Amino acid sequence: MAVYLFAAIDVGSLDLAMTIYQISDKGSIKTIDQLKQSVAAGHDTYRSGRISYAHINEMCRILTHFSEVMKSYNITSYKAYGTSALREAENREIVLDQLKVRTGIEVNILGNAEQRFLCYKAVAIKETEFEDIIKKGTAIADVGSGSTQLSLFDKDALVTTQYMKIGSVRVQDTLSPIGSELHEMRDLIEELVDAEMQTFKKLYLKDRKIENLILTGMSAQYLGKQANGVRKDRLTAEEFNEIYEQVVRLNSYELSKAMDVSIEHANLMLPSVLIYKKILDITGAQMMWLPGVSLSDGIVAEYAIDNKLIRFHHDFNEDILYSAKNIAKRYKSNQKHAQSLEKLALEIFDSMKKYHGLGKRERLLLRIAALLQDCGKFVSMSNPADSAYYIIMSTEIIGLSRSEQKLVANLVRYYPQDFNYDVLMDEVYEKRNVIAKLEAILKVAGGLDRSHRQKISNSNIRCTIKNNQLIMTTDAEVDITLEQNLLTSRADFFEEVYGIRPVLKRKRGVNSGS
Amino acid sequence: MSETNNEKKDFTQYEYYRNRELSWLAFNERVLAEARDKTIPLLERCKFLGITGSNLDEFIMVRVASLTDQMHAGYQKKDIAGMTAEEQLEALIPALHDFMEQQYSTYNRSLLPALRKEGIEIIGCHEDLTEEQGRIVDEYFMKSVYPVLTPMAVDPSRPFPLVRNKSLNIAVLLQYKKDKKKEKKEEKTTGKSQLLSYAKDVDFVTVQVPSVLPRIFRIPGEGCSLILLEEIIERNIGKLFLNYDILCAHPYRVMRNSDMSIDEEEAEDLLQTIEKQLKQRAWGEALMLQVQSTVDKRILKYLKKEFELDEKNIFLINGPLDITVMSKISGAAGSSYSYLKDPGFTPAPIPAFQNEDDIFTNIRKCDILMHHPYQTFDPVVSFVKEAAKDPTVLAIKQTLYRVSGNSPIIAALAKAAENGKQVTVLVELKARFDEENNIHWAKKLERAGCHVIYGLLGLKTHCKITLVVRMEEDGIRRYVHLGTGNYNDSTARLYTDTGLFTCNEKIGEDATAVFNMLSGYSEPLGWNALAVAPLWLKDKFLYLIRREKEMAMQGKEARIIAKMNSLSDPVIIRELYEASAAGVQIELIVRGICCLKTGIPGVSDNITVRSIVGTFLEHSRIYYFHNNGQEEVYMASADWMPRNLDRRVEIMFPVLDPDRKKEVMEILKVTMADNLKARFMQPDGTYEKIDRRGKAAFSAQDYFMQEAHERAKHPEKTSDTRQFIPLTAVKEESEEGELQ
Repeated sequence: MAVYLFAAIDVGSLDLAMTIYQISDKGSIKTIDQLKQSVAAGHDTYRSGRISYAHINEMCRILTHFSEVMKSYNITSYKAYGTSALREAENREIVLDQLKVRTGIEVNILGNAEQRFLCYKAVAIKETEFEDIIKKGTAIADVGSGSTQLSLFDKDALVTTQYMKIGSVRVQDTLSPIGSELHEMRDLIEELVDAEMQTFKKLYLKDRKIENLILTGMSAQYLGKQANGVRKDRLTAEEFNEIYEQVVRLNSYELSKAMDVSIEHANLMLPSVLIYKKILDITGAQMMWLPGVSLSDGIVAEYAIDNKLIRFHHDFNEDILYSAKNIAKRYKSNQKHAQSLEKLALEIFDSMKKYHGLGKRERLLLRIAALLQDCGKFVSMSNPADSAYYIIMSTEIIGLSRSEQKLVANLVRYYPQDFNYDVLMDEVYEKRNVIAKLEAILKVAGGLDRSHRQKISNSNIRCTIKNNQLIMTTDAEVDITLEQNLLTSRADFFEEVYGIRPVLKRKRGVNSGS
Repeated sequence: MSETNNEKKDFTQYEYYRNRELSWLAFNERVLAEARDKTIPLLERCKFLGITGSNLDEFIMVRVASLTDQMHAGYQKKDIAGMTAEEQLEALIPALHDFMEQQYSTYNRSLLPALRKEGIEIIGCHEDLTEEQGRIVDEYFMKSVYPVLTPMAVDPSRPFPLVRNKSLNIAVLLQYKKDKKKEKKEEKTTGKSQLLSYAKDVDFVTVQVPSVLPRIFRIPGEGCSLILLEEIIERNIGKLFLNYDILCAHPYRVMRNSDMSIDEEEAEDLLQTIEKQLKQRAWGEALMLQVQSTVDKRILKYLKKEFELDEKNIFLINGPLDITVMSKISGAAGSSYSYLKDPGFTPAPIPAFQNEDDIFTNIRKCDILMHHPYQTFDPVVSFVKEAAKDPTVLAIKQTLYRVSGNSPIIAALAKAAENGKQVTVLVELKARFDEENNIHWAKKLERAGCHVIYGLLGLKTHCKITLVVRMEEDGIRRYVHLGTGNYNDSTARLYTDTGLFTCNEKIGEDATAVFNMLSGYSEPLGWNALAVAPLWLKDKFLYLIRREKEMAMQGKEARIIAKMNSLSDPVIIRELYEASAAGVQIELIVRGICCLKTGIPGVSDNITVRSIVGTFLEHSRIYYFHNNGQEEVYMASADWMPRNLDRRVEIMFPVLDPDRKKEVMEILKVTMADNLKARFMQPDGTYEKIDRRGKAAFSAQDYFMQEAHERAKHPEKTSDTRQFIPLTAVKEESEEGELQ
């Protein structure tokens, strides 16, 4: 049996945590070591927008410790991610640079959608009954320090995922200048939370039955703790309400004693529990699951899946696509056309494998772009491209990083218009290239379904490359003159990118049907 | 006792608790009783007397010192038994006088005659030397002693010198040789006595009895004649002062305040602070003066003034000062008197290791319990040694509290670091009286490339834990040793301790968390199996005690057996009283201090306390809880004392392996079957030996010694085959405590 050690570092709002995992080629992930030290960098960011130098020093000290511990295990593979405290800090680049220079550890900032997706992966991997749970209406509520993510599942498909800027540390910091008494704070927090939640309820919870609530986030880990030290991994709504009453009644000190947590975490219990309670109320869920996962669990899950160290039967890419489809649906896209486009694009992408040199991830981005390409029409019929760009840029697509999101938005933006190299000058070279390559494919695929009537589809087309030509042969018994004629300009761009000319042909002996 | 009564009872009343200092003194009396026990070989009895001396020295330097400090500071807080520091000292000082009298009465009336009978003569007074002996002694003086003596005179230009804590010194009064006639004439005319004029004519000189030389000198010749070094110096003192007349010379010994209370909040560098403190220690306030009862009055008056001592703090002694010398009689007497010594005991091999497999393979087979000193401590050393050269070992982590001189463990750790292992060693610098030693080792380890850490601010790291992390074929595996005693191969031959080797995953994870916490790498994120002081251990004990109480209240069988060195935590005692009142059967095996009182109606009727003082120092800490039949057994580095539970990093670990659990319970059972060395606490706080009523004498320590070797003969047999048979072959019985 081969085993691999991997370290996941989470540079969080309240503390820095490192978890060392052992991944075996038999598919198990085991926690070997866990370290955590408090640095309240989040308070800096949420209050002043910048992380103070004192906290940077502190972070460096802790990361140095972490690196020593990694060395003691001979670990070379690690991933270090910063979340909202770093993401929102104005001086994030300086902070990241200092961390790199002084500790040798490279910290990357996770976009919110990426972060939530990691958390979701962690839940899926850890919760053995995950597949069963999500068959019924399920919501995953990930209450972080800076924000809350609420994701809805129905019949094991991700329906939506929404980001709300309410988190335990943020709520606390927003209210701390008011300096009110605890119970007054409670009302204020409820008000804050309520405002966000009601919109969500109106938009997504209409006619939807949520039975299960999966809770993740810092404070969720402590909810299941019992007097005998054993941790419960699920609570009924009644059991939760009892805990809720207790948390609301006790002050931070009493709470830290009762739950055996640090004062810092006890301070955050009240806002967190109020958020959980609100979510419970608006969803009407009966059962709460506490998988006790951390971001680190998600980091290792991703690492293990990406490096094919473990196999997981749940297809996380499907979740991303579902999420994209739901966005398309919300903006009244022509779904038939979108799906046909997606398939045609894939057909071309796969046949061009040798020439574009792109991988699975780009393939996924291409599919998402295909699904989302006409969502702009919902806003403007005259300028759908720019509208689509802005819709995508302001919508969270779970699982995509900020730069991937931008890539998709650009693909969609230039899909109906000429490709503009200048506008993309702020993109790094590699990214521009990827955009151009995918765009060329998407445009040609779009040309094949110009009529939006799916005359040509992946079931009746075959792509081969011969003599610098991408020959697309269809046996569809329909008139393809329109498609053949309108393909020219798109083919020019394709040729410009690949040096290969796309040609649409009818299979010999097939009637045109006209 | 009914529940309602239980609720009414106030278990916190002062009268239910015993003062810890007086309880400690009672313990030292039990040790002294061993010195008078004729069933014990004579030279061992001498050792026991010596031990009472060193015990007492430490007690004075630490406890009496602390109480004195408290009194000076006007600290009015009452102790567990409701006494202020001043009240405690008032009770303690006369008790100390009594105790020392008992020590010297044991020396003069019991040991000296017995030694003489065996031909061992301790010449107490140099005047008693034969002419031939005197010649030999004088020759030894000139050759070996004279060169290392440094007399220090006191006069207006030379203030009273630093007299080191615990050191033995000789005070000399001398006078410049004058014309005798002239002197008499002067005296007549001035009418001054010598005493009054000594400031002018009489000089005071003090000479330290050199600690580099053996205190006992065996005079060559027939038989075994021993003389103490101070007597040799006294006899020859004139040779140090030419042109002076010696008026008198007497030994004295001063005890000083040496309790270190470093304010860690202020200490920038702990290491430096302790080094500085060490230098200051010799200068601590004098607490007491020991002189022989025959001392010259002038000298006594002078010393009393110089050391600023009250009459009650002066101890007049009828015998040699610094009775710790009695521990060395055995060595000085030599091998021809080995029939007067214990035969000596070689620790037995541990059956689980009696095979060709390496230590890690053996630990993987099952958890391994070790009972020292009956069983050898060697595996603990080999554990580190083998880890040092094992290619799959990634890291070795260990806590060191008190290490022996030339410790093989230190050498192995240094070797491991040189071999590229990641070695983390926690060296506890604050281990009392061992600071200098610890700093030395810390530096040595650092030079070898070990990561040396010093623990947490304000907390002594007292837990004994070693962790070896290996990268095995199927992944990381952790091997842990947890013990009740220090990683000290010397004391492991003298102290009874238990230790456990395990590669249990949960314990391994906790062990890693302990070191992450100690090295400041991480806040603890919760524990699987270990209970760690100061934050969690006390609560765990309270939980376990209360659980038994609940059982008793439900009418179920409830029982606690706890073995420890000292019991003084008021909260624990109160909970034990409550449990006892609820009907829990509580059997305590407490070697030393015990602030709990037995036999208080309605409070502690169900509690027994026994103390075993034997050849080996009882040191293991074992805690048993009946738990309605789901018995739980724990071992720990901690006693039930506030310092262990609130101010130290300690670990209590469960014995999970069912077979090992049986073994530990067997240890408790055997210990409680002792009817030879065990003494039971009486309601008045005295300790009485058990009335055997004709039953065969049984010594647990003797049994363990024999049994350990029996087991080693049949390593393949498991513990289940152990049979508990009381031994009848213990030494001949006789009345003890004849004296007083």
